Amino acid sequence: MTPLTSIPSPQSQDLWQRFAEEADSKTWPSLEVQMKSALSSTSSSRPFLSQREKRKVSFDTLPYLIDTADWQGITHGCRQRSILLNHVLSDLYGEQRCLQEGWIDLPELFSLKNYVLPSHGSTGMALPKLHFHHVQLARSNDGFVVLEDITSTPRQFGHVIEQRLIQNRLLASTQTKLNLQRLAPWFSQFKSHLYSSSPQHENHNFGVILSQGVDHDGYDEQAYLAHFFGFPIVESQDLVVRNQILYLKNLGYLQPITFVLRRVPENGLDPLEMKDFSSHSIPGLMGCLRHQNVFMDSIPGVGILEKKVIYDALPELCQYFLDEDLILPQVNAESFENHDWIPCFKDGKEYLDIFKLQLYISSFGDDQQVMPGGLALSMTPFDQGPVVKDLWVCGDLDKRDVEPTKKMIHRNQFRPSFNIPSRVADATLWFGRYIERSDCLCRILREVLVEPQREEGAREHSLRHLELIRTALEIPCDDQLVTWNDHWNSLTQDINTLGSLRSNLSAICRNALMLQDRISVDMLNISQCLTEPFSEGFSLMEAEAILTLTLEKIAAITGLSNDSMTHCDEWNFLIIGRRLERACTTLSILRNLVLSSERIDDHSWELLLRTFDSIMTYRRRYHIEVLPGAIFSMMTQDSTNPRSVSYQVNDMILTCKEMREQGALWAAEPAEMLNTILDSLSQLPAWPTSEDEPLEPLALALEQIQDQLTMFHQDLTRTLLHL
Amino acid sequence: MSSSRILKIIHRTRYEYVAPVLESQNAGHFLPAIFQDQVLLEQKVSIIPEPVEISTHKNYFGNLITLFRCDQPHIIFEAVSELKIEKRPILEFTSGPTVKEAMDIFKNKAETLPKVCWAYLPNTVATLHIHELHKEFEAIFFQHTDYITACKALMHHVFINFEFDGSVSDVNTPLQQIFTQRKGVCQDFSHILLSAFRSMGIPTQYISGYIETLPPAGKEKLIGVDASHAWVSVFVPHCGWLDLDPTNDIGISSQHVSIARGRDYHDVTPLKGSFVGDGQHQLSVSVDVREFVPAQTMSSQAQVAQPMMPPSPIRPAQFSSEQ
Repeated sequence: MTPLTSIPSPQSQDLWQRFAEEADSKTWPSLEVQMKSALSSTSSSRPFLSQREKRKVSFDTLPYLIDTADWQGITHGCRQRSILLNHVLSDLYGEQRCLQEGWIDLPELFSLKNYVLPSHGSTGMALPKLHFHHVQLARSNDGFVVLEDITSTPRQFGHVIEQRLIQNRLLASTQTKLNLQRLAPWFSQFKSHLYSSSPQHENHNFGVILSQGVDHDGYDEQAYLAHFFGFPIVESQDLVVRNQILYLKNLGYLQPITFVLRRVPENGLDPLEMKDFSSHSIPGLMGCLRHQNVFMDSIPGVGILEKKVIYDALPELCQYFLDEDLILPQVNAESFENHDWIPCFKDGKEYLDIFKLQLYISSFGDDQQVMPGGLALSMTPFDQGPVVKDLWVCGDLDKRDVEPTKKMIHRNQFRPSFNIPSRVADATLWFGRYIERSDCLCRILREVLVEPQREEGAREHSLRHLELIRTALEIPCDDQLVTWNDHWNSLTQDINTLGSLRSNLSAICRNALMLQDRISVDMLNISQCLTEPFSEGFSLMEAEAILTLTLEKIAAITGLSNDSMTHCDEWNFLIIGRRLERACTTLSILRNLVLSSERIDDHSWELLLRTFDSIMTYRRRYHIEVLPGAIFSMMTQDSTNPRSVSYQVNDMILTCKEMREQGALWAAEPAEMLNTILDSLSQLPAWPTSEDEPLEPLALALEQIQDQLTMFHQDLTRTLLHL
Repeated sequence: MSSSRILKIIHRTRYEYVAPVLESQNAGHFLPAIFQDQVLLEQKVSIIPEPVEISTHKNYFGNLITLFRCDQPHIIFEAVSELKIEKRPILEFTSGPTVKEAMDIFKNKAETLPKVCWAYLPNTVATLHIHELHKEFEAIFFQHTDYITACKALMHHVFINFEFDGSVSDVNTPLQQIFTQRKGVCQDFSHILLSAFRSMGIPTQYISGYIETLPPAGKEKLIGVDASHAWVSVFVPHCGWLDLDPTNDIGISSQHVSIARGRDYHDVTPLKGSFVGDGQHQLSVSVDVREFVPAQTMSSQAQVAQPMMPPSPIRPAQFSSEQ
């Protein structure tokens, strides 16, 4: 074991000795196991994220300890820095006195995109304030120095809370013995500040975390932050501006937003006023800010403060604005050599590593408050991202603040759930559609696969079935696809073929990720495993087993959706998506079968029944005799058959009515449309009794119902997305 | 020096979409910013479909930005801007600094320049610093002692060495390509000149506006044949801004109407925005600039300016969420 005496700072040595006495090093291995277990149960540590190497940090078991003497110096310096940065920000976007004085290189400043000119006071914008930022420090031989300011989009804020809550659980008595300063009062003030700084719309205050989405590295901690504060996490496309007011596109109505925690880049945020266009843009946003109809913790343009052109000038600017020297000296982060060796415990081993501190500062009115904690980030390059420690400020505990973190969480309080954003409703509907589309395609492919084995010389016949699938499911066909194997591979494993089984399964994965906060962990995990056999490729020998396994996984997802999803709007849209897809697919397959140039033989009818998993239902009623009229009626109008079109439409009507009864006014119109579709279904012509009778009228009627369903989806999308 | 004259401008921008646009949010530079040599007498902006929201504010460059939102589904969008502007005589600088004096200010005392100059100091993506371009123009510039003469020499250099060709570029053509092919239109020539000036540290504005063209002798002027135009305005220490039109090798004349100033074209896009719908569309732009002649007054213009290709407005598409 590395001796703790090797730690350079005498004060830290003392703290570490005390820590080791309280939290015996023999218990550290079990502490690490408990911590890993606790992390895996939090939303930001889902197993699939680590599988995909998305998690860019790994938490250390041991905290970074700092005593109050060191902390007071840091706090003093950080507060001064925050006051200074606020002066600089107001000046850059106001009078520009520091530019006139020649402290800042003008061409360089004006060449930076982070100097957002639409935020300048001359455009009618109120002078911006630096409400929230963080600073990175490191311990030099002469004390702490500043390495970097991060002002634009704060990072790892959620990790601070996540790490601390876990440590509160595991090291409660050690924390008490070391007089750990609590974070809760600061967070409480932070939240109050958001509310008090925000304008109110009709006595209503509503805030969101604006994220770049699940594909972005920071989403993990942002989602955690959202859960902690109880704010919805949204993306730019969820928001819309009307009359200089920012709204969340919610299901059925537009929800005014009064404050935004911005976690998207500032460049191109409003393409109407900014030069760039970004995928996170919200047209009209600058107008909302100009009219002070929304509060943003990080106004577009604050990112300029983290640029070298400002950082380098801060010592002079401190003299200019505050008439004093910087309390915390700043150094060039790249050339700084850190020797702050701190004990770590990872993978059952103790070692020393060098760390920098990440401290968070917020302006509560004119009062700059440093969070009494934060993170320590390893400065040693590590292929799994930096090792992160919880920062413990120890000493002088205010007894009134004992365990206030628990108060913040409101564990026993009822929190109203938010109405779902329109984009989530849309994504859930598509999630359902892709599940059902994959299920259907998987079944047909499995039936086609086993066909040649049943009948001698049936390969050619089977090829026609593959072509029929392609037409019915509107899967594009390449001229180069000639043989059975070509078609088979294209329909199953080709990711580039739109509508192939693999592309549909990928769409399920994508939508599940997008909905990760709305579906259960098991649903998410199974969704992420769906494409695994496809990425490695498989032979025809393996195909049947893989298709069966895929069907079982899909069945597990749908089963879990019933058992583990809250039966509210998200679930309703999943149901509508599945029903809609099943109805459309059934109609399309029937229509294409009817239109096929050849006579439909018994074999094709049986294939159809097996595809829709209805062969046993059919045989119970009609035994083994193949009666096309009976099959057709069973698949279209039989409202007791859960695979029939009318069953799907009926179920969608019930779902819409249920939502309408729960107050969703918008649901009345879709329900009306579905009733019309049900009427059309009831008027569907019967299957011809003689072979001489033409089938075209039947095909036409099926097509008309299919068109009605397509229109239903289009209208529903417009309603949902407020178009 | 010519006397005051009144110009009437009609600028029509029309989009025809293949599929209906459900909603659009737009920003337009319809109204002129304040320029010393012109006074706005009348203004009218008509937009089809009628916007449900419309507002105008001044941006950092002093330009008037009209923001508007249309929420009626439409397949035709049309914005017509009608302006009546009095053009006043342009006061030419009688004397200016030497090249040495001016460059000393730009290089060593940029902070003493008026604040409005600062944003125009650095190169931008559209007015990129290109080493060969810089060397070529710098050599010409420093052949002169008088600063204004040196600036005009650079304008003349563009006029002589770059060919007007409306078929070789669009608003997104990289400057390096324009510099290599030595062909382009007014905005390309302006970007070349801006790059040359800014690479030397001289603050220079991109000006967008209109230019009045005159029909060939004996022919009547057709409606809508004029064009949007672009030129540059270079800062002259102790004097002000000097407009240079590299496309026509002239300073600003009574035929030029300024609308907006910026660092490059992308700061002064005539119309941009986002819409919900299919992106396919056809764009047509027509500009008509003609003298407003009160009773008993006749136009007496002699110079014939070169007609320009209008810069195409950009309207980035924003699609619905259909998957």
